[in-house]
Amino acid sequence: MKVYFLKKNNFIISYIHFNFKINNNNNNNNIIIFFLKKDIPTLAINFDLEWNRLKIAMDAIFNTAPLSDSLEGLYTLCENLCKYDYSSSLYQNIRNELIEYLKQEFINISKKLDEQNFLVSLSYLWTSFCKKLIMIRSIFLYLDRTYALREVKAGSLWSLGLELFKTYVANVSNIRIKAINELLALIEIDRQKKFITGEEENKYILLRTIIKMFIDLNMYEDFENAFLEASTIFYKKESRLYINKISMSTNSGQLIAEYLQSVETYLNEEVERCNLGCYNGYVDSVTRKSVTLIVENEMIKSYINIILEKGFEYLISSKAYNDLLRLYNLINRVDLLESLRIYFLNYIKKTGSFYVLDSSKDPVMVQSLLDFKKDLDDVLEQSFNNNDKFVNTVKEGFEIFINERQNKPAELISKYIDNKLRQVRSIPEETVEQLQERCMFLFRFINGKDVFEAYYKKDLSKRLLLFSKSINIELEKSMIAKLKDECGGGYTSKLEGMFKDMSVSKDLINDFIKEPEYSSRIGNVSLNVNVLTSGFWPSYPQSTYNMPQELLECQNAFSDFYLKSHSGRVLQWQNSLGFCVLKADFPKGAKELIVSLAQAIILLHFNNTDVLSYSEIETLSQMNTKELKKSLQSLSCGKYKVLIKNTEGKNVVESDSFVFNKEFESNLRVLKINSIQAKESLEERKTTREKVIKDRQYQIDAAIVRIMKARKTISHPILLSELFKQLKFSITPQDIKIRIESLIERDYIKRDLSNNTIYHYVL
Amino acid sequence: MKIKLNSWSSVALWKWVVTDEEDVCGICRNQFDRCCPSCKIPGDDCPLVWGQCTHCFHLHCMIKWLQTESSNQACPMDRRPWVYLTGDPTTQDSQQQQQEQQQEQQL
Ligand SMILES: [Zn+2]
Ligand SMILES: [Zn+2]
Ligand SMILES: [Zn+2]
Repeated sequence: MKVYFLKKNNFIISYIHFNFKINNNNNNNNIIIFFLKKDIPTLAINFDLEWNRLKIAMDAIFNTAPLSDSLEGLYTLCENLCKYDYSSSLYQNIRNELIEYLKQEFINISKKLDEQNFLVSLSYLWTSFCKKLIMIRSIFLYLDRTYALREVKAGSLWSLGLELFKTYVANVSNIRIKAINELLALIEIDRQKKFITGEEENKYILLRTIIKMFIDLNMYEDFENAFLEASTIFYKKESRLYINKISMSTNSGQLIAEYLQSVETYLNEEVERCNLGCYNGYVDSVTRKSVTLIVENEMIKSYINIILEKGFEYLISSKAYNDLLRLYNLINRVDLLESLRIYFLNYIKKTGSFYVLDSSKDPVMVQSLLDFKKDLDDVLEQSFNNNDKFVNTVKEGFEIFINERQNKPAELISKYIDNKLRQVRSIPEETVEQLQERCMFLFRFINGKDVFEAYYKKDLSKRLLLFSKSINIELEKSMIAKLKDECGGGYTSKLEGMFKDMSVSKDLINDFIKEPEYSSRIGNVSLNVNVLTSGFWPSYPQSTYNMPQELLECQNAFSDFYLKSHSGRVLQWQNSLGFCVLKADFPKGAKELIVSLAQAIILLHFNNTDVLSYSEIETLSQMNTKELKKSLQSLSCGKYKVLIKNTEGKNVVESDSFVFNKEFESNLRVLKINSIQAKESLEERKTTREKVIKDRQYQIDAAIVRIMKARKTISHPILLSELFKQLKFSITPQDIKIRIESLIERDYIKRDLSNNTIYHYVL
Repeated sequence: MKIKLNSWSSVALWKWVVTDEEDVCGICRNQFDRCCPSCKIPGDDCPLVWGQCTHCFHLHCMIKWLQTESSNQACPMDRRPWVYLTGDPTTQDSQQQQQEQQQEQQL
């Protein structure tokens, strides 16, 4: 067995090396190390004497006076005392010294309790104490690392110092309460932004120091609770002040916007405040969530109804999208978006109804709704984060208000699209396509889609038959495709049929031209005939005219050609549709006139004479009075006066007579005089509406027969519910009752003999 | 000639030759200007047929009817053997009227 004594850095460590056999088979060397805690004292040491030197040093530190011994010497002194087993007494003495010092300091400071700069004093006391404690610890580092660490509950000298400091803060003359109140007073001034310029930084440092003290003394909770309570009071007061002002103001919308702005500012300030790393932050970040919650609750949640009531409509209608975004975000924070959504929905309904219900606004209804939708899209995008619930709210709103008025919106949407499709030459193609898409948004929500179809069909028919040369067939078809996407093939089959008729007609006329047997009969006239399938197209009033021979021969030649290959059919000429191109040799220059058939007939009669009276023309043309007057008026009173009426005035009367205008001149080579055809008369609208009603009856009849055929016997209520399911327009039970009566009369169904609420299908 | 017709874009409506616009197909009871129940759109794709008995039906209705056992290959209106009329039914109009008059007289 060997024993080594090693000296290293004042620590004497002994190594004892054992070398023995554990058993016979094993020859291993085992090393056991003893750490000898205590050096064996060679000299006696006088504790009181040595301590006195240390105490003098401590006093010097407390008085911020220079040290008489070197730090190194003091350190060794402490080390030696510890080694001579005086650690416990040393620790106790240090503790007593600290207590002695703090006792005096706190007596001093408690005298300053009511002084203005109490907090500054406290802060000074705290910071200087910390500095002193650090110095003391460095002297007693050996003790701190050995005895204090292992044997004392309070732990290191640093903890001991803080622990003692805390006792005084907590117990001496309400220092804690005073300190907290002072802090809160300062914070209130900060919140009101009333720090004297130039002093802010010092105030922030002061606040940060004291609050950090609370953290270091493990007393932060005391401060935090008081801080949150004060925050609640502050924001309660602040919001009440604002809201009172708002409710008395006539300009409350603008004030709400300002209010929201200040709430946002407050929130940002609280976030900064609760960040010790921030230049003007001094509250611990653990408090951030609680304090912002207070701002949110006191300023937004408590007044959500007033905010929305007084502010929402103002903000949205003045397109203050940034303010709306702020509103959205703030309300989102208090989880009340549903309230905002309800206001949004009501706003949409209100605004939409305003456009839809007032018939004086009909001319601009569709454009207004499209613009409105665009604005709402902007709101969704810029303010509402494109939140799905809000996106759907727009749809919900449109569906409600657009059906508040029956039929008219459908009619006007169709008119609007018609108008754009007629102007395709002056509007870029993409724009028209976009407009179609936007109109589809409106269309989607209309309950009476059959009304739309009826008007659309009517407008389309005019475009195809009167403006065939100026329409854009691609755009026409893209619109049909959109309708088909939305409503299915059944909805658009007739509209598509119209296009089919157009192309079949083109082939027909080509075939006609190739057959001289027929085409030679019409001379040099370039004839085109649109042959319409009766079910596809809207019905038009029949006009019969007495036609000049050359026109009559055109019709006869084509009829003969057509019926030769289409047996079982008849052709009905639609004289009010279509148009003629005439070449008129005015002495001052030849012109091409685009005219209706009626106008053409009238003008052609002027080939034989220069002057014709109203009654002569009437006899020659056999036109009905209304049509004749309208045609003569457009030829003699309109923009292009091809005929001269012998009387003044815009109206044609039976006693008028007309002269061919030999003086006619115009810069244009081609003149369009048939615009009256394109205008929709009130009667036409009425017929379209009647057609829809008749069509609905037919659809109800067909649906009833379909159901009865499948069920054979059915009760009235079940029949009703089936019908409501199948029919795509809104109907009343009364409407259905009338149709059932009619079907019973026509022997399609019959009532049960004993129970008249049950129907049987008649086979 | 001061005024000359250069071109004419005219419009004509074609309809099936039936005596009354309100006339319905005896099989499906739809009006003739509408299509049969199995079709969606009237017109070229749902044509009418005439029998030699002069009765008129949707072609699709007639085909279906003739496939049923109870039809006995007869016209559903008058139970006479069904024979498709070839050629133009319009020229048969007068015949039909004559026949109807004869029938009425017989009754
Ligand atoms: Zn049928
Ligand atoms: Zn069919
Ligand atoms: Zn028959």
